[in-house]
Amino acid sequence: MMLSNAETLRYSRHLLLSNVGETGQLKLKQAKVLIMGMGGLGAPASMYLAAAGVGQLVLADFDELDVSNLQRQISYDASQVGQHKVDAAKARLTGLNNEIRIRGIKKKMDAKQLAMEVSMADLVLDCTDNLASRHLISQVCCQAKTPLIVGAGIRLEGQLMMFDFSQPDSACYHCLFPSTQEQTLNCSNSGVLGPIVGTIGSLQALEAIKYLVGLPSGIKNQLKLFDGLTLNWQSFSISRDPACPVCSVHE
Amino acid sequence: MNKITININGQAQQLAPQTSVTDLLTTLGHAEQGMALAVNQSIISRSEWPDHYLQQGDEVSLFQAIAGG
Repeated sequence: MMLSNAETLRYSRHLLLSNVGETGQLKLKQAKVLIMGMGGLGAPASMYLAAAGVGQLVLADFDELDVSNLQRQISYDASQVGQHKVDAAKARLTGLNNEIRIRGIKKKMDAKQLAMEVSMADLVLDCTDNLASRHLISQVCCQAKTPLIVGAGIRLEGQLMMFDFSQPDSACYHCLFPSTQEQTLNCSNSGVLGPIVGTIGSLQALEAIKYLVGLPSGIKNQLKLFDGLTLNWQSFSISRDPACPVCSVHE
Repeated sequence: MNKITININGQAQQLAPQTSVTDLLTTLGHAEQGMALAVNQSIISRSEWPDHYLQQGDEVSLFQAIAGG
């Protein structure tokens, strides 16, 4: 497989990079990424992945666009309020790059449907807004051995981590946050500055592109905490919990 | 009895020797739900909290899961 002339022009800034080049661009073209949640994280992440030429994007969100989303979910337009987010996002991303394939999932997925979608993806981005979804996505990705890049943001704080479930020693989201009881911090009740989720979503896209072209991750089995007040980052290593009922049960 | 000094999110705190992570959270009055804890930049798994004893000079980071996106 080779890049077309149009693709060579479009991705010329990738082709200049020694660690992407034509080989890396072809890997992006052949890749399929599932983005769970098309809010403040999914909006920038999907734009960067579409722009980068990831060949297939699957966007999952059951919400409709609300006017209060526009403060941070920057891929949407005021004229799209009331539309399904995945429809609005698909229009935006197709306008950005019509050489890729984009599919939207508007229904809330149960574990079985999610497992099917995850098994068809090379990589999953968790851009959701609640703990129940985060635990389910991690569990399904762990079972399918599909790598997962998790982002989260609230107020002026961000969290970023990657679990490479293709590796046998990978920890999981449950090792870090075992409680499945819903806690109360989300964007609707605590507020968030747009660039917080913009920063974390952009870094999810960066790590996704790096993973797909074969570059080592800067966050594997690590939790990065971002403080938007000081712009300081903290890094913590995450080890697999030998007692974890999700990732250690198969041992 | 000699006390040990640790740092919790940058604040110095004196503890009795042989204080476990679980003891610490009880002392602080923190609910365990949704919390993660790291000692010297390594996350301590929940199952290890009762048996992980804090040492003089440990840097403890305590934070909550963020769900938002």
